[in-house]
Amino acid sequence: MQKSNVLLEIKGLTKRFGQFDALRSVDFCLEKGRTTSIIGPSGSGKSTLIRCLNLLEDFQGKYCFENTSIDMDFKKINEFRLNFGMVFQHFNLFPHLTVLENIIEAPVHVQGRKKAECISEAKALLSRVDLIDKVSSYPSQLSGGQKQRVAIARSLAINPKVLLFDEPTSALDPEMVEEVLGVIRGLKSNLISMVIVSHEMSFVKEISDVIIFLDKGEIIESGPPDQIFNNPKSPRLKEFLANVKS
Amino acid sequence: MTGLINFANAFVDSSPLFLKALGLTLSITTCSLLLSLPIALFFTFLSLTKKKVLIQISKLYIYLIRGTPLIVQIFVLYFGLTNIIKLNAFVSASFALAVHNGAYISEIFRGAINSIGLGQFEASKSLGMNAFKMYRRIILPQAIKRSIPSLGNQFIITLKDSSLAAFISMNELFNVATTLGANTFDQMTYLLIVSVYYLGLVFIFTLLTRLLEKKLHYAEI
Repeated sequence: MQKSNVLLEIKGLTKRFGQFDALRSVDFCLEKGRTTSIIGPSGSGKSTLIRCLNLLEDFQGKYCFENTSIDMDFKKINEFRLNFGMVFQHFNLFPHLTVLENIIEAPVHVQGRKKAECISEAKALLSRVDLIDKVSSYPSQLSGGQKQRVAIARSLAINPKVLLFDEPTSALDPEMVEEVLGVIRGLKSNLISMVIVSHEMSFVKEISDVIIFLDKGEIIESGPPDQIFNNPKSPRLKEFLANVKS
Repeated sequence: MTGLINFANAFVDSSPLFLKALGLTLSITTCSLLLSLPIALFFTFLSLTKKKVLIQISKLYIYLIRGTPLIVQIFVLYFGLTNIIKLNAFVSASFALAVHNGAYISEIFRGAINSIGLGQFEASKSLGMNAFKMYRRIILPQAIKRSIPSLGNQFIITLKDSSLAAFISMNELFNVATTLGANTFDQMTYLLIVSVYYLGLVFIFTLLTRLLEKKLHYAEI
């Protein structure tokens, strides 16, 4: 592994909620243009880990982005978060703004870019997620799958280096899962890194370069999809995969 | 029947005085409400900071204001502070009502902000917003919308509480009613008449609140 390809590296990440250790000395590494998925039973710390990646949670450990070490007192933490586009389980669209306003909110009001330019970019993003006809709808007028596709467009609008997906299809009706997975599939390229927390095992297997299996706040096993799914080593991963398949 | 005609006559005859008083009542109410909103917002933000001292200051303000009668607060400003600063009756009444309502509205805002889902805060942060932008553009527009029914309620209370300004000799609606009642030895008629004015104002105000709620309506997620 060449050092220059590493985008984000975390060493010894520990996260405590009161007495409870949500994550225990987790090492995490993400390379440019690669997709890492985090799988594991519920309560294993998957969502906590992905939220630590863009510093939505504070934690103990060494955090390094593009070879620059960053700590929690970092003054430009808000700007720094623009390196990450985050897609949430419950979409978290802004209900008082239209679809278009949701997408241009951060580019215009945080990044300070020209509004006209942002609007045409937002429209291109909406065409990409196949929702150009919903430009002036409000989130409440959309289906779950449509909301999540808008949320993806919104996260892309800030031109992030990393996309974070926190269980993007878990809150969707089954028939809408595929439309969202299809969009995520289409985003995979050498230009953007992705981290995905998901329970959709066949999707994870297909899209990931690396898979991390997390249980009780610890990384039990990690490796390429083929190794994780076809040749799991640890008994806990074997048990988890058996439970998921049944 | 004659009672009704007498009432109608008294109503018409007293209308110039009452309409003038109505203007004063509305001025006191409007001024105090406009002033109470920034006061409320200020203390809401104190209570939402993570600094213990600021939270305690906000709590103390709310406790002091909610724990003492409004008439005492009005008297403190009008009579009590004469050694330090001389405030005229209008300023005393408006300011007392503003500070008084600030405490209640601050709690309304705090409740509304706390009712906004955590996801909205997280989405704002993940889009690079600092706390000011997050509140200004995402949280407050939603919170204020949710506060409108309670704010409407508070505004009605203020309108009626402005009658206490009569006790510092402001010629507002209630003062006119009691004065006319005393002069004519017919308190009941003028108390009924002044009630009609208050009811009319509250009716219009309720309608306006409904309209505002409708205009800001968008289904929540």
